[in-house]
Parts: sequence; structure tokens; C-alpha cells
Amino acid sequence: MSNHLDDAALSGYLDGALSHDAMQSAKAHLAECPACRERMEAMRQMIRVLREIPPVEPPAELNLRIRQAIAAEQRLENNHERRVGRVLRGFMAAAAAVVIVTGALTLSLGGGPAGIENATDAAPDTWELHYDASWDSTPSAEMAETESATSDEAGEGWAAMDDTMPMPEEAPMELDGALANAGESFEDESQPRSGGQESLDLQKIIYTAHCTQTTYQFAEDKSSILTKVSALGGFVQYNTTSGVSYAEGGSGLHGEMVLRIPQQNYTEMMRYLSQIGFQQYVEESAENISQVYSDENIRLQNLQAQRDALLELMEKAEALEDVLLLQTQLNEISTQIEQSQSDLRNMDQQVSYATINVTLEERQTTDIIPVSKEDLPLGQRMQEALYRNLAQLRDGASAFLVGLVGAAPFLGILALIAVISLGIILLVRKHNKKSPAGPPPQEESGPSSQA
Amino acid sequence: MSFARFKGPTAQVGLLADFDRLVEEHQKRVYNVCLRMMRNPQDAMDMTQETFLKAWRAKDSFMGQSSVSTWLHRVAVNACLDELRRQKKRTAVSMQELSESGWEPADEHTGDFASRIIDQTAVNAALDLLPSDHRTVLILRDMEGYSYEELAAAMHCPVGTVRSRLNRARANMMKILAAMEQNVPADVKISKGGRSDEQPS
Repeated sequence: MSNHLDDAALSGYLDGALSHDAMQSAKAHLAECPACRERMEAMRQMIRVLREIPPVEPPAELNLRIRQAIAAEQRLENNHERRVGRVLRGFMAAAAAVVIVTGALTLSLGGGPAGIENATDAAPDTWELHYDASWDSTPSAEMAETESATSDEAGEGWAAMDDTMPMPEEAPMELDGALANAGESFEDESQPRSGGQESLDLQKIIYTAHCTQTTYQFAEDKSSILTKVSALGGFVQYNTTSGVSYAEGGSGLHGEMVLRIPQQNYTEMMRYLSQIGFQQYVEESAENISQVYSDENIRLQNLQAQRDALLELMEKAEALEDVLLLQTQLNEISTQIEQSQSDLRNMDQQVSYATINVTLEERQTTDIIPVSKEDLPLGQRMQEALYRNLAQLRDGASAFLVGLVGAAPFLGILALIAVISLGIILLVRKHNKKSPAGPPPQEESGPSSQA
Repeated sequence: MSFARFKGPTAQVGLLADFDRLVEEHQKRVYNVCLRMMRNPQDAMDMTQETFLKAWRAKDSFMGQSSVSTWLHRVAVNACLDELRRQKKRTAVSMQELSESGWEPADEHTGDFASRIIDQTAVNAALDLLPSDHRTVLILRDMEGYSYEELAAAMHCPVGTVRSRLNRARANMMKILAAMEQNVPADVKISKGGRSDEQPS
């Protein structure tokens, strides 16, 4: 009998993986060697047992673990997409800034002095550059411009601000494409839209303003403001009046109002307010919360997807332990979903309705100083001149009387001196009348000395 | 399964639902492949999770795939192979523990196999004692039905190497089974080298 086959040769033989000669040789040996046949059968059995080992049921927690891992992966993917989106939007914003700067330079160099004539003309570019640059550098980039005005220049100040404050319809259009890419932004169905503003609905901007007005028609002006708020579809969030009117001997009325105006009517309301009495102070800000909003919205979607997955699992769960675990997770996710929805609603409300804080103060009538006398009608100018002269006459007479009475002691002495002087004069004149041809003094003294 | 209809973020929920069905359908098979290769439930769960994560990441490339099952199986095996390479030391520990327990594999050439009971319990136990590369090739070939070419592709080595490794793996299995059956020390070491297999006399 030839040498026994080793296990490696047996293995090769079973797989038919030996060379032709080796196979023939092994076959011949197996035919005459019971020991090797037995070992071959044992190996064949081992292989058969290996193949027949039945599959086991995976642990119940496996499915949940996989779902959780997928949910975590989804969050990572979303974060990655947002990062890519941010880079893209940053690039678009930078491109928009370059376009604007180039445009501004072209205008100021080629279009003559118009672009650099005064500060207010340059202001819109400054604003838009700020607007673009801040678009993605911080999630809650704030664009604020503050301007205060004295009573005399209030009108001009407000007019200038109107020109420099681009409202939504003036926002740079280069941003629209980038914003459209975001795509995930929650569409606010309740927000009214105007024709060319659809892409701008993706921008979530909170407009806030503070202004202080003074008026000598407090009640009328306040009433008209409240009427205007209703007419523009807004509402009054807060309204209070304090103090006593000057007309009633008090130190003036003071009113505070918080007005909520639909975003599209914000500009009109601010313009209307500027015409109420005298505008003492104006501050406006526009906070862009698009990124924060988008992030929150994606978070909500993820949470809802997780909840759906858990609910589906819950239907299949049989073990009490699994049900309890799922219930705990469901409760936690439901709470997070409610919080997220509440945050989104709050942001929507803030965006849909601009907030205008108005301070209204009564002015004393005598404080009123006409802006310019040349602007008054002729009749009023004549009337005012007459009143002014009469008042001066009255004041002059009063002053004369006061001075007169005040000077009474000196006047008395003067009168006494005058009376005495007059008396002396009269006595002298009387004496002269009694001796009309009287001798010269030397003549009178001559005889008396001779006698 | 086609994922073509899942486009855009709003379809995420639908995508998740369909992916859940995919997991439901294939997790048992994937888990069992992983369990056979990793030899413990915890590692098997980790590798199953890893497999489906990879599937999720590659969900777009599922389009046009004739068999998701084959694809998942390959991903699972590769994940396990990667993990086993990282865990190489575990095998050494097993062998060391084996030696410390006083056991050494017996030579297999004695002709008393008829008395042995080669059942699932014994085979499973013997698998645990194999060096990991031997176990892997044995599992993939004899349990998962891989061809030599598929083995070569999965293990990144030539077909000849696969063949000799498989032969040595089976030989070592037989040695271990024989030793377990006889429970007697032997002076034959488990062979891992290419040409060091002893010939039966």
C-alpha cells in the first residue's frame, strides 16, 4: 500500500481541486485503503455538517440598533449637505458682492459725481454689501441701521432713510438662486405673497423698528395710528397711555405702542408714522434667520422620520422590554418634535409680522416752533406780525408802567425840586412887576449912604 | 429594490420606510454570515449594523442591481474580514488559551474516525479554535458556498493560496475534531505554514 493521503490531499480530492495526476493517484489509493476512505468520509461529513448548520434568529435589539444607526447617519448627511450648501451660498454671496462693488465703481467712475455726491447716495451700496457679506458668515446675521433726528430735521432724516433702507423687494437678486438651492426651507403658506416675491419668501427676515414721535394732537394722532394699523392688516400687541394733558394743566401725555404689521406693509407703516407730528428718533433692524430656520426645519424632519420608524417598530414589538424601550424613545422624540414645531411657528410669526415700537409724546402748544416762516401763507404771516407787534406794544407799556412805578421816589424828589424852582421863579417875577422903573442898585445904595 | 424614486429631502420618510423593509428582509441572513465569521453575537451585531450602514450610504448605487442579497452578503463578508484583520490578536489568544488548558491537537492519521461523532456542536467548537484566516476560508467555502475565485477576490490573494489555505484549514479542523474526540494530547501542532503539513506515515 502506498503512503496514506494527508488531509490536505483529501480536501483537494473532495473539491476536485487536485491536478489530474494527483486525482488519479488519490482515487487509486482510496480504492485500496480503508483508513484513508474513512478519513475522507469523516472530512466529507464535517463539510456537510458545516453546510447544514442552521441560521439563528438575530437578537430583537438588532433591528432597532440598525435603525438608530441609519437615523444618526441621516443627520450626518444632512449636516454635510448643509455645509456644502453654506459653501455654495457663501460663494454666491461673494459673487453678488463683487457684482455690486463692480457696479458701484462703474457708476461712480463713469456716471459722474452722482454716486459720490453725498453720503445718502452711497448708503444703499453699503447696506447691500453688508447684507450680502453677512448672509452666511453667521446664522443670525443682523443688519441694523440707526438714525436719529432732531425735530427740525426729522422730515429730512426720515426721507433719507427711506432711500437707504432696501425693503424686501429691493434685496439683491443674486441671492435668489443660491436660496432656491436651499430648497429645504419650510414654506410658510400663511404668509401673504405678492407677485415677484416668491423667491424672497425663502428668506426669513425679521424686521424690527423703534420710533419716537411728538405731537400736540396726541389723542387724534394716536387714534389715527391705531386706525392705520387695522387698515394695513396688523394688530396692536401693546398699547398704553399715561400722564395728564397740557390742556388740563398736566405735564403732557405719554403713549407706548407695540405694533405688529404684516411684513409687506412694513414700509408703508413706517412712512405713515414719519408723518405723525415730529419724528424724534428712528431705529430699524433686519435680522436674517434663514439659516437658523432651515436648520431647525431639517431637524424637525429628522425627528419625524425617527418617530415614524419607532412607531413602525412599536407595531412589531412583542417583548415588554422592547415596548418599554420604544415608548421611552417615542416620548422623548415627541417632546423634541413639539418644541421644534413651536420654535418654527414662533419664527414664522416673527417674520410674517414686523414689530414696530412707537413712543408718542404730547408737546406743549407754546413749544411749537414753525419750521420756517417763509413757508406760512401771507395772511398768517401778517396776522402773526400784528400779534407779535401788539404783544410787543403790550409788553412795552407794561414795562413802562413798571419802570414808572419803580422810579416813583426819584420822580417825587424831581417833582419837589421842580415845584420849588417854579415857586422861586414865580416870586421873582412878582417882585419885578411891583417895581417896573426902579432905580439901578447903585443908585439906591448911593442916597442911603449919603443920608 | 430600486431607490430611484427617492429624490429630494421631502422623500426621506419614504426612503426610510423602504430601507426598513430592506433591513427586515435581509437582516437574518446578514447577521448569520457575520455571526459565523465573527463567532460572537455582539461582534455579529456590530458587523450587521455596519453592513446596513454601508448599504444606506450606497443606496443610490442599488439602482440596477439584480440582487441586493448578493451585494449585502459581499458587504457583510468584507466588513467582517476587515474587522477580523483588526482583531488578529484574538486568534492568538484563543490558541494560547487552548495551549494553557493542556490541549494540543492530535495527529489525524489514525484510522479511528468511525468512532467519532462529528456533529454541529463539535464542528462549531472546532471552528472557534481555528486560526482566523483558516476559519474564514472554511466558512466562506463550506458554509457560504463561495467558489475559489470568489474566495480569492474576497481575501485578496491568488486562487492557489486560497486552495492551499482551505486544504490546511480542513486538515486542521479534522485534527481539532480528532483531538476533541479523543481528548488526548498529541505532539502535532496546528499547521499554518504553507509546506509544513506533516504527512501521515
